[in-house]
Amino acid sequence: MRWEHGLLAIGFVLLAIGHGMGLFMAPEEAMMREAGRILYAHVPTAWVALVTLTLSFFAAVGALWTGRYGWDAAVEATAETGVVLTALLLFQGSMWAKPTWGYYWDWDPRLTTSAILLVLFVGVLVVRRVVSDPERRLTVTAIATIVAFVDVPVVYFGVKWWRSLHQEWSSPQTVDSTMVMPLRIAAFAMLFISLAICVIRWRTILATVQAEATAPDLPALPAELSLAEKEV
Amino acid sequence: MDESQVGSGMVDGAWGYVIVVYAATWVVVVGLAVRALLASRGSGPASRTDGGVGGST
Repeated sequence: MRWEHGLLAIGFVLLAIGHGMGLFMAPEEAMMREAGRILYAHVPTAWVALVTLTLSFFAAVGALWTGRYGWDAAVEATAETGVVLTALLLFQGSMWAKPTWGYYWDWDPRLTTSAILLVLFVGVLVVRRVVSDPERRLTVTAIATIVAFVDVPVVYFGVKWWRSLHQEWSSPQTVDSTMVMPLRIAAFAMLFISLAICVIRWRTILATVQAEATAPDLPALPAELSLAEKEV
Repeated sequence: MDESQVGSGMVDGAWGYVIVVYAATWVVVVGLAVRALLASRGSGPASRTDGGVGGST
């Protein structure tokens, strides 16, 4: 068993504890009542989605800087995990919006920039599938990731920059002290799970990329076949 | 939204949404983990890359 498998197991145990506390032990939120319990699932997902996509940005810089496939594999591992977490984040948010705002979606700056972030990083993964040459793919993916990352600080700071329907940042400083512990435990749980998945994926992707990069070129066509093709 | 709910900021009976969110979260993270673990079992050369950052282009 590798260390990331242990980290994954710890993450799931912590997630069960954090979610259990959020569902059954944390007090009801004053305004949102039971819907406020979505906080303990939604906010950690948001934090970790942005952290994962930020790691993708640093991996992209590393890939461009060094040209090493290890960084290239890290870009894909973190981008694909970040994309799934961002999609989950948007779903959780819409499920929270319905009972509190009265509708599932609003073209609010935070929601809109988050949706754009998802589209941008899906684009990164699509580009990665389209380019087959490993060297060219490394460069193109890294550039696309750096471009897509520009939206991450916009998502994070958007609630400060614009008047938004979405509430401001939830953190231990902005929520009641009784909510801090389940929020913190769930956040570390999601972080551990996300990091473990990224490392597991990194090993797999790196093996594949290295195999592609070191694969011998196809042999030249036999002389008879080449001749036959010319005659056709 | 019902007029009586304006100001309370909340409708009653939101447990359904809460359960859907928590269930979706578990489905997604468990799904991600299982997919990653299954894929890693099928990649033989992975064991040769322990700790390395791969070859240079």
